[in-house]
Amino acid sequence: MPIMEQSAPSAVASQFKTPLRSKVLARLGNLGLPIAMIVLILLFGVGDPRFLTYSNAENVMRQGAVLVVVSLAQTFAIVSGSIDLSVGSALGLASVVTALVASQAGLAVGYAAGIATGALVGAVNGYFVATWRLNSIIVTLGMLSIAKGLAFIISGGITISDVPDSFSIIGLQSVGHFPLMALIALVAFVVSLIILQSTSLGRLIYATGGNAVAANLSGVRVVRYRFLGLLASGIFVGIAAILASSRVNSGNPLTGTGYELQSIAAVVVGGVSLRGGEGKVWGSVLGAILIAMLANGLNLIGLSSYLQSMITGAILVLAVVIDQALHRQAV
Amino acid sequence: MMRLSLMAQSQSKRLVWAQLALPSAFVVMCIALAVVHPRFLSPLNMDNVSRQAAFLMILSAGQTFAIISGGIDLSSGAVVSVVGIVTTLIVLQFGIAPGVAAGLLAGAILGSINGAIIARLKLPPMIVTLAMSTFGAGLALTITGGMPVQQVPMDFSVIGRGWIGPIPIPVILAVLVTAVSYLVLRYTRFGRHVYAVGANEDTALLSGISVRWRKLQVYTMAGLMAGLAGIALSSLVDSGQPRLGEGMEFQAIAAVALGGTKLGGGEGGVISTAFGVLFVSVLANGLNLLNVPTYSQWLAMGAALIAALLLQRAGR
Repeated sequence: MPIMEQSAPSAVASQFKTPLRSKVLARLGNLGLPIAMIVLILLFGVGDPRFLTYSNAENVMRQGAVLVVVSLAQTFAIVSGSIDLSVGSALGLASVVTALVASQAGLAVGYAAGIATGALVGAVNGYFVATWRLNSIIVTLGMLSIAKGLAFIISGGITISDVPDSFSIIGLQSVGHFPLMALIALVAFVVSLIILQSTSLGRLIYATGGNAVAANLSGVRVVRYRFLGLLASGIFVGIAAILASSRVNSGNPLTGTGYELQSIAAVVVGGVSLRGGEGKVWGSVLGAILIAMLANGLNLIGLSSYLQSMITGAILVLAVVIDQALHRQAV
Repeated sequence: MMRLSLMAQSQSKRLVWAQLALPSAFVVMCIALAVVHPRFLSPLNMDNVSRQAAFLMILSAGQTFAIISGGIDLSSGAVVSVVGIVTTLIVLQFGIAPGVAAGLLAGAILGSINGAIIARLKLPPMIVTLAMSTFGAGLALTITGGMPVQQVPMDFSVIGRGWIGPIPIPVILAVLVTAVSYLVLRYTRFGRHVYAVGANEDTALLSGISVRWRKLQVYTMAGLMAGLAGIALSSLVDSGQPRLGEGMEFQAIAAVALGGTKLGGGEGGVISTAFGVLFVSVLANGLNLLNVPTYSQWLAMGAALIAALLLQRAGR
């Protein structure tokens, strides 16, 4: 507010001038993740030149697309003050439903069913967390079991390969040089960005996650936005399931195993606070891409998948440490 | 004589209900099972169930400490696996006692790494223990190359399979762990501080509690208990299985939450966790006895978890 700035005496005003160092670190803090990615690309490029080839980039884009969408789902959940541990098994359930329905009623209906399944899981999560005020860790943990059980029961524990020919289009096709999967993930990213950062819906979701009590006292219908956060998570999981199933041209109840933890990792690396109410969508996306790149690069170098797990764990901690350090200095 | 106001009376009634909800549900379930399935109460089945419950209880005791302190331990399953491997490898080379010692030490070390990072670098426990879980799972698989450690001497399996008198050894261990945890949480300064840190970390710090030190201790304990569970479990299967504890941390968290301990920290205790463990174990055993197919068991466990929570919430 101009009036207040002009009338502040210089002695007091100098306390409010941000030193150059803090300004630089603030900018760096924002760039931390992109810088880390560039470093990673350079390291892997040196380690194995195949990493820098276009066909490998296409691989990363395909593998990363699913994680990106699941991380978007997790972002909605976390930013609204919850956490969604059921994303992995919900993905498997939606994958199975998509394949089954597609084989009976065609591709479009199949896709709709998949997204509806994800939305249903999200809605149930949201109901118990928002209306009954149960802890989201436990509810989504329970849902993880329920969705896993349902996925295996419906599929009989086997992969459903009897799908229409067009099922794999999304997984295999590219538009120009961009895999279709990556484009869909991009669209999902843009939609999330718009919703969370440019609409009142998004602002209210952030408010609910940041401080539900204060939001409630300010008249925000906290129950509604908590519910919507988990519902959105479910919807995006449905979309991710379509991508994942299309890639392997089948419906598999095991699709999505491990994604709950990977998506949390991606989101945290991207700077979203687990307490809720803060963090940027592009952070989660970059975090997801980083993790996908890491897995791809470690694979390419020839490390056993067991060693990969160890390194991924270590790098996860390192990434969060750096991110926190940069942010704290900047404040 | 103090007379409670009407509101206070109904509030204390609700508190009592909330605390008794799960134990009551547990008792009802036991009675129902005993009636429906005669084998439930057979000595063989009781032995099975109590053993399974014992392993989970040892693990959940550590998890209780972590949760009361305001954190969580997602790595306990991986620690179980790693300790199982370490223990069996050392037992093969040097004997049972060194093996057990090495296993406990390994658990404590892994836990202390968690604790150090959480305490010093102030990272969220969920992420740190998640990273440790990934790291630990990879470690267990790397050490063994994915293959189990075999040909462990039969004597080692006494820990997991044996009895002292009529009581299975794991049950004795679990009771000991629970008793010690209860006493520590209730009657020591350490215990009081753990509750304080969980309730409000800033206030605890301002009150002179060494928050960093307590957190380190809590996660080291959690690791130690996960280690004990790992030793007992690998003794039961008489081999070193790299995936031994996979997923167990979630069972432990479910047990703690079912017992009524709030995941935000600052309250709760091992006795409530014990009821949570018993509930989960008897439920799983009952589903097995009733020949419920595996997939449906997953469904039932998830639904039961949510239902039990609803029951507790309805009482508040």
